[in-house]
Amino acid sequence: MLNIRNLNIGTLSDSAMTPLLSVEELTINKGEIVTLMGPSGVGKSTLLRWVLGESLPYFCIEGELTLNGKNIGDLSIAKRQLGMMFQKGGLFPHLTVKENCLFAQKARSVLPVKQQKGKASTMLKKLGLWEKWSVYPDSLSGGQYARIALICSLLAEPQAMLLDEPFSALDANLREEVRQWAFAQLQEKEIPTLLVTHDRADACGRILKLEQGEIQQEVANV
Amino acid sequence: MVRTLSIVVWLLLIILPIGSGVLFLLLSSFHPQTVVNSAALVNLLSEYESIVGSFMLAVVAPLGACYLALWMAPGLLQRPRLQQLLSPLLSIPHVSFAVGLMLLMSPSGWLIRLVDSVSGLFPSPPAGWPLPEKSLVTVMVVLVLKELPFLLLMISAQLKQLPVSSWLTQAQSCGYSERQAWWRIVAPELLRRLTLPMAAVIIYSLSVVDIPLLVGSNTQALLAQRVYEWTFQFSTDSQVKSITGAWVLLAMAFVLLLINTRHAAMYRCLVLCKKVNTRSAWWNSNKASQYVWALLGILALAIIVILALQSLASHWFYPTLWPASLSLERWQTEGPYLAEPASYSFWLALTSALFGTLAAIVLLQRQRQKAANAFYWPVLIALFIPQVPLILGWQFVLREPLSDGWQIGWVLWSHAVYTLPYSYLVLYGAYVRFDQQWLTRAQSLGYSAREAWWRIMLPMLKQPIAVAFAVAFAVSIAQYLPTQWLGQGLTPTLTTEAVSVASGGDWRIGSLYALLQMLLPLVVFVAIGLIRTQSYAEHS
Amino acid sequence: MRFITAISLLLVSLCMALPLKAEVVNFYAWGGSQEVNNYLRWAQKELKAEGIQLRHNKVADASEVVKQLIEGQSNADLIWINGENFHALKKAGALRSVVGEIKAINQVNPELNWQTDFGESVNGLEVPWGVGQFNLISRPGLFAQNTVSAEALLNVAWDNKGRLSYPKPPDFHGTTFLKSLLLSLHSQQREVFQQPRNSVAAKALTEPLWNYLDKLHPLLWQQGENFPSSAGEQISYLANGQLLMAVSFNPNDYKVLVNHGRLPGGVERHTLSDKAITNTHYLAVPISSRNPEEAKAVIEFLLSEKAQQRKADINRWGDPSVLKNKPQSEGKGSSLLEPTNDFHASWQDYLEREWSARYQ
Repeated sequence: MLNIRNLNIGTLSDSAMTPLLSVEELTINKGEIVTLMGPSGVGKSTLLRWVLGESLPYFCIEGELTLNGKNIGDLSIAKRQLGMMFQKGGLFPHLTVKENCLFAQKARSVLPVKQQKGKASTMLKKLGLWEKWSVYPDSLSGGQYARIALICSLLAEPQAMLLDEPFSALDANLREEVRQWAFAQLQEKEIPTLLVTHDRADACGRILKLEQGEIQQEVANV
Repeated sequence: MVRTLSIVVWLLLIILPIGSGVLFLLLSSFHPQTVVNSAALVNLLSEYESIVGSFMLAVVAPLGACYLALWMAPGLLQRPRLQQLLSPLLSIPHVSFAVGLMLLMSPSGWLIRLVDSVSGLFPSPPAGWPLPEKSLVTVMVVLVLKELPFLLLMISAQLKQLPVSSWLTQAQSCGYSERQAWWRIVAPELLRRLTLPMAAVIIYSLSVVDIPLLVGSNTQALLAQRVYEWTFQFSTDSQVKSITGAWVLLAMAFVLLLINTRHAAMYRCLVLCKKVNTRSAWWNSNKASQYVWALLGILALAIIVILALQSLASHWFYPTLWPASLSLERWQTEGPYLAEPASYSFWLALTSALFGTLAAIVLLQRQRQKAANAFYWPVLIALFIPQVPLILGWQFVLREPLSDGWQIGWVLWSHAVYTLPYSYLVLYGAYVRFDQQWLTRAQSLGYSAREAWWRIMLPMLKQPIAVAFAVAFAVSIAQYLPTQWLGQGLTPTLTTEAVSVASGGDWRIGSLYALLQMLLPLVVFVAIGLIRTQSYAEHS
Repeated sequence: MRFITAISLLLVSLCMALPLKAEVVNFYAWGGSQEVNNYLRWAQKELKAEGIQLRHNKVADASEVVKQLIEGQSNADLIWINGENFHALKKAGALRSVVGEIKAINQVNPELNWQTDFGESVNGLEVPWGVGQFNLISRPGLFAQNTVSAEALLNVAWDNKGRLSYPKPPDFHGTTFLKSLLLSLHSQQREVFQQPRNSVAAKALTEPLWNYLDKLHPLLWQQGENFPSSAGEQISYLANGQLLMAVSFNPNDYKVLVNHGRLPGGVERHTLSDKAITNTHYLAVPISSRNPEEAKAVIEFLLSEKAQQRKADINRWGDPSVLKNKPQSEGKGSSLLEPTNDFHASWQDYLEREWSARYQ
């Protein structure tokens, strides 16, 4: 369960602070997907990056963040155990698919390498992408790339997932297919997921609209 | 850690060398015997030909090389392997390149010999063509040809960071031809990213001494060349002139660098205002640029061959097309004496290139931390203070430690002073534009910031880092005066040997050393050409 | 970080491991002649037997080490100089008075006028090492006679437009070319140039020279708009036929350079004016030398009969001996020209200045 409370985001310019977004409370339960929707510039990506733990020098942010009841607001990115899938940069270009999969597990997994390898290859085989095992990401198609990127994120066994317009680089028909597959994966693993997008078509689960600096309404529950 | 290291780099490789050089210049300028006054300045300005000549050279040669490189660069897009062709050209030291070119193209050069052997038209060499032995034009040709591969290398590194092919496709879908799209879409962005390499090229063209000494006019000498000559003439008058000249050179460098920062914007303005001409000129075709690539390749090969033949020739006079006899004698005689200079060259280049590259990484990492992405211009200053007063300044400040058997350390340091700016400017673009998201992602997988740097950033930047190292390596190999003066003759390198041997004008032995000088950087450049790199531009 | 530390440690240990020899004689000498370099390599081997380590620090131009000595930054124990470089060092008081301490000085040919160097009194600050005699080297048949007068040179220039030149002053070969022309233009008043420039009518004396050069220059290589930068460069132009003539200070060069494949066979030696301006090149020990005793021992060796004889060998360096006892190799083709003394030192700077004011 991911919980955000009393969050205030402001932009900093010349030491003056302009409030941008405030969230009183936002909870994402196990197996739940929450979509934050809103036009660009509303602060939704900033919120996501703050949750992830990035340092954001041009913003002034305060708020409480707990994951499964534990306060993670002061932890470094590495310690938060959050998975991410953003518009770009899902797979490291200098590593092969196999190396990417192993790299994703190595930092946290206690399993021996052989089992890590087995885990990754099982997931790829299930997807029918086994033949891509030892290629570099630049030779993957857009759909293959997105799927393998998500697999890598899941291999790191995150306690929650953060998605920022993850499918915007895909073309329309592929996009729907990948989207459905991805949410199915996340729900199957019961990972609380926070998705931000400006595109209604990408949305999933509980949809919250951001407007005029706060969460306006709960639009729908898909 | 990075902060401390960056302070050390600043103090040791920027403030100490530049500070002591400027201090020495100031002290000399106000020294009663060599005081610089308005009369000296007026005197210098009245010989305006050298200033005009220097200015022309520093504008025309870099621009010529830049646009020629942009014109040829689409070839790199179609065949990335072409980059390998640049390696030999990049590794030939400037002076050897000039000599090789003259052996081919001077009035008594191989080209005229070839024509003569076929037609018998030139029983004695023609006067002043194809390339006159001494003229500004020859200096320009040498500089353009020598700077061209450097700029192409820089462009090739940038092309890997940009989604050029999708830009070109997009522009073509709007009705532009491929070449038009190149000049209107890709060239402005490349020019923006070439600002720093161009700064280095401009500074080099302005301050180069050895090439004009070899092939430049000696009655209407360039300013840098005259400053150098005045330094070694010991009358008070010449000393004042040399110090005044050094200040004028500094001022010219500042003006030119200022103009350089506006170059990309001016080009953008110009090209966007220009009407689209649907008919493309014959020269602006991929075919034409392919021929030039081929020519460049042939030239590189021809220069190496002619230097090799010279080093083997017992004698070789005009108009014979080939040396009468070849023998290994010269190589055998020199052989036993090569080990020492070769090993000094190698170790100095290796370590100073490593230091320079590491220092550049430290500075750039510190800039990322501070989110201060503007270019550190002070890094370049060491390149445009004339070498003689700069090094005298170092000796002036470092006098005590210098005389205590630490020469090799100081030579190493002096090389690092020159390798740092080159590493920095080669690496700058790729480093500051490195997408933070890669690091964030690695950290989200559980890696610490430091681990992410080592395992993601460093390997993803290995290509630009390798190029920076190779360029720094070649820069170190070419250092003459710092090695000679700070080394006090205890650290002979292939270059100190080559330069002194060449001063006698015997190019048979000169070619031997030129080839050796080129060999070490060549190995490094070929090796970095073999590094497998993925394009980081697509999928992002 | 561990990586960086490891590398720095490696580098520091490397620096420490590289040998740094302190107790050697650092001999700074021009490295532009392979014949000289090879000669010094021989000397190195010979001296090693005497327990002296001679180190030839090659420089592209002796003025580099002179500049360092004047700034007080050189470790030179021994230098090879003459002319302007000597004047600068003498003025700066940077040279040790060694002549009196060299035993071999008694063996030096008394006919050799080595007590003045380009007209400047030596004052015991430098020891003669070899003899220079200014001469022209030409393609066969270019000049009809062994001695070439200014007028003959002009006629040859008329017949061979663009094929003659001379090194650009202040290169000392170039300045000596001007001096020789002056001697030829004033063949009756040779002695006047031995006097300080201020004590004679220098302007009137040099006027004919400038008039002559005004006529000569348009006939020269590149119409006299550029000149070879050094004698070595001009030798290369002669070898490749761009020029028909070169200049040299070694009276044996017309044979030595052919022997070494630098010039095609058959080139001839001539004297510009009727006698060759003769001077000496020297060895000197800077005051700052740390090993003056060893440096003097090296000088003794280089003045020994064995060393001088080998130096004069025209299959090697071919530089004439400075000793009284003519080495046998003189018979093997080494020959001197009829000498004449160099100008008083004050002319050097004057001629250079006037020349550049007119032609640069």
